[in-house]
Amino acid sequence: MKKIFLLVLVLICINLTVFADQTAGLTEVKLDNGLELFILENHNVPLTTVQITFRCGAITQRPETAGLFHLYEHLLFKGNENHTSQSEFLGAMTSLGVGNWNGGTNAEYVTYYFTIPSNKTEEGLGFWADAVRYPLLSQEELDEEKEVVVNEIRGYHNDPNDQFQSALDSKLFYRYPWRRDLGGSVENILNASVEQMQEINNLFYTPNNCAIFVAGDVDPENIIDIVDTYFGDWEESSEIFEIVEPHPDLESDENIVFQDPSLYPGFAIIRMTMRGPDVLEDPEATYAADVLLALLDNPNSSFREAIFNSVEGLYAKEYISKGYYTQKDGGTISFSTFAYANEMFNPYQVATDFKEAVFNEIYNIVNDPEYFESDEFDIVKTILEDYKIYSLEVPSSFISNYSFWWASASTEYYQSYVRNMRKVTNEEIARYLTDYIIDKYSILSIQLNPQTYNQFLQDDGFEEITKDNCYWWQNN
Amino acid sequence: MKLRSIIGKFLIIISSALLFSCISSANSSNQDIIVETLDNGIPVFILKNSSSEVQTLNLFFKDQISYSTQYPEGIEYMTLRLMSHGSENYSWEDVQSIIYQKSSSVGGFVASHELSGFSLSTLEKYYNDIYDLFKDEILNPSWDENEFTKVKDGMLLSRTQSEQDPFTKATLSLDDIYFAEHPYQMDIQGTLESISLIELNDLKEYYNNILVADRMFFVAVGDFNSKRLINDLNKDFGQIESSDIEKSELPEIGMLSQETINKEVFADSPGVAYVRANFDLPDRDSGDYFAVTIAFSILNDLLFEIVRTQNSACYSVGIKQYGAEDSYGSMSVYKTQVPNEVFAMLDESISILASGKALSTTPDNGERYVDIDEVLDFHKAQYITKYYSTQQTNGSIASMIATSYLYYGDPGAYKSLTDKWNNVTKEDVVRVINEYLVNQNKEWIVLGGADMM
Repeated sequence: MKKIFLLVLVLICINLTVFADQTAGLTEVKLDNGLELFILENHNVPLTTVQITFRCGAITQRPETAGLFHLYEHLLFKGNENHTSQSEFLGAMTSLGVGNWNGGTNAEYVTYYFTIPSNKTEEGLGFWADAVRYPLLSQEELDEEKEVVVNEIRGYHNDPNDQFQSALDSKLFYRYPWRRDLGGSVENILNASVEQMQEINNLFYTPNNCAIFVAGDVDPENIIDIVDTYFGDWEESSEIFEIVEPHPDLESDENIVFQDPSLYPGFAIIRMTMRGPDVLEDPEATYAADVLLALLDNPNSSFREAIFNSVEGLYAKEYISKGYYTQKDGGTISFSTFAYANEMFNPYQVATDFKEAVFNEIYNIVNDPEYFESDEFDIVKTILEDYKIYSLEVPSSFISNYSFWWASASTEYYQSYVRNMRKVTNEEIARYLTDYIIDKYSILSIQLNPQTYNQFLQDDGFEEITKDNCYWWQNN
Repeated sequence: MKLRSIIGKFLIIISSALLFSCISSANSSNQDIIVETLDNGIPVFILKNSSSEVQTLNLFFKDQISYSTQYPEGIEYMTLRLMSHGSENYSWEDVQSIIYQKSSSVGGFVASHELSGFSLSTLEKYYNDIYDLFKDEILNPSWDENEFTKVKDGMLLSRTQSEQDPFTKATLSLDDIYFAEHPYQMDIQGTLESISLIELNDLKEYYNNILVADRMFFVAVGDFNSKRLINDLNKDFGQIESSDIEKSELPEIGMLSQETINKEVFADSPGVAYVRANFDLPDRDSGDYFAVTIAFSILNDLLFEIVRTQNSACYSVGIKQYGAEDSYGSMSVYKTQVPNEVFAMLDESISILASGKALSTTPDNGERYVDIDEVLDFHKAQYITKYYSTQQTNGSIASMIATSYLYYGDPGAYKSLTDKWNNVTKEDVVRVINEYLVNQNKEWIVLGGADMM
């Protein structure tokens, strides 16, 4: 009896530990065909948000299909077997009382969502089932939507922020830049065929490559039944896309300068960008990267203090920041700052000094096992706990975020995130920095207002990026 | 098809008690708003919401226009931003540290020509510390010279960025023309010129125009002890005096005497144009205000159908009602290659609605355009869905309370607005579309590359 009691006690403790990772109010289910369903119950307002996400996007593109996953996303709104045109599709949304809706193509997922009165939840799930399972993908609709998409991406191609970021991505992901380019080229869009749309549908719009997220004024058991009704007989695919060749590291340093009219004269944005850990290859390092990010966000961090004091021309300590973007195959690390660019401070020199100072301080972190004190780690752990509270305030925001993690990592990764972050110490951070930053190549970039740019003789070591060479497909 | 559950039933049984206690209650925020007044007459509105650990306390300031016309544009915004950057007892480094460590936010903002404020948002466990910071920043700003430079530079950077976005630029340029000689022409975030003119002493002087009792009211949403909150607010803010500045009457924007199309070349937008129009609308105290809301929901479907779906003429198109004290509207075509052709499409959409027709929700099965009555209830439901979406956080509920008090004199007015939308009839829709769109001149702008002109 005693042994049974102890066994039960141990099991309870294990379960409670596991459960401590689980988000309160969240139910997770997987259908036999591989479709994953996540339900967040919240009765604050009588609304339901339904979001449906697929693991595809820029990451699944080839050079000739760059931009086509975005075009496909548009086509999904153009009709299906039940609502046979865009007008019918949008009319159905109106009759459901849809308040907010959209679709989005990202580097590692494509997603669709809307918010409806909660008494329309079943019809809403049925609506999306028709849309994702039975799209028409007609030639006529494709030809019309190409014009719309071209309008959209032409606007992006005129945007200095898009030009700069595309140039940065093209250099960082030099071998497969199309795997980071959501919009693609106008040429690719205009050449797109129904066959290509069908290929995307067959390979990626399958239940075992899909997750449904339902949040709001719902009963989880009821939702499970409804989803089973509308999606349970959706045939799973025998093939799931896998990244065969993860993107390699940079093979050399690069320096670029960009004239950015959206920047006020007299200032520069300086950034150092490099490849970071990918969830696929090294999830442990991603936790260290995020903890380091939070530690460096501390306004009292000695990292910022040291760099600010050692580099002349930096604008203010609080503008020195580190970034890390978690991706399955596209993790990116950056260090950036604002700086003066005037007769006293040459931005090319400031940029070079900034890069050197960052590396010097990284070495200090690696070589000093007590660089970050224990109370700094305690603060980060508390911040992570606080974040969880805020993340549940708006159910639709929670599932939007959860959808990202499902696609780029996994829900297990997200649910165990706080627990794993709590385990990170100076040692793990040192390992991360050694593996990903020390002696690694980077891209050093400067953004300057054109008026400021013309005040300085361009440094020979910096390549000028313009709207004529910023996109990878311009050089192909 | 049999389901395969990931979470074992055993786990669910053991932990259901924990789970259930965390699921939000439907009724916890459906409380009455507590209305109090400080000793100096400053109103305080408290909505107790115990379903969330987030607490938000907002000090709102109304009537910016009455107090700022003698100063450069953007002064109220710059003053409030600088107040956020340190005080007598908290340096800017202290402020950043506290906000970082306690996952909170404190700071000033300008929401519109009618409403600006200072807000705090935090978790219950940190409230006392964050309130101390909040009150010190409002009552004892440090006016640090270095921080002033940063705030000013930040506004210059932000404005430069805005002006480089073609759609934002179109909006700014059009508003400047449309609101000429009207107080709404004032740019609440400042222009590059006006921001450059402002000096630190201007902000110290202008501060006396912000901290006046007759401009102020508080809104608190969260698990507050109302008695304790009133005691604290009375102690800290109850001695602030009113001003003798007369509130200026806002002139009517009024209808335009002619239709005008302004063209502006935006060199960095070759091959793409942005089209926008401004026009007058009925104010909130007019019954037509709510009819316009529903009418525009119906019209948005028509605009999308005709401009984008049928003609592929743009990336996005829409019409919007701005519920300011003097209400106005705008209609926009976003990213078009055929700016000259969209005017006829916009007119076609408006004409259909003005004749009593709307886009059918099943346009391929029978008539494309049907009687408004066939779709009216759907659009009401649609608008109400959007309305509820704006009430999901304590912060957004606080905003609803503030605008309810500002425009209706009743902090709880937002709760009964759904009735007003539900009462809109087809005749109301037809009337307002004819009066405010068909029979009214508009001020237009077309902004884009030279090839688009």
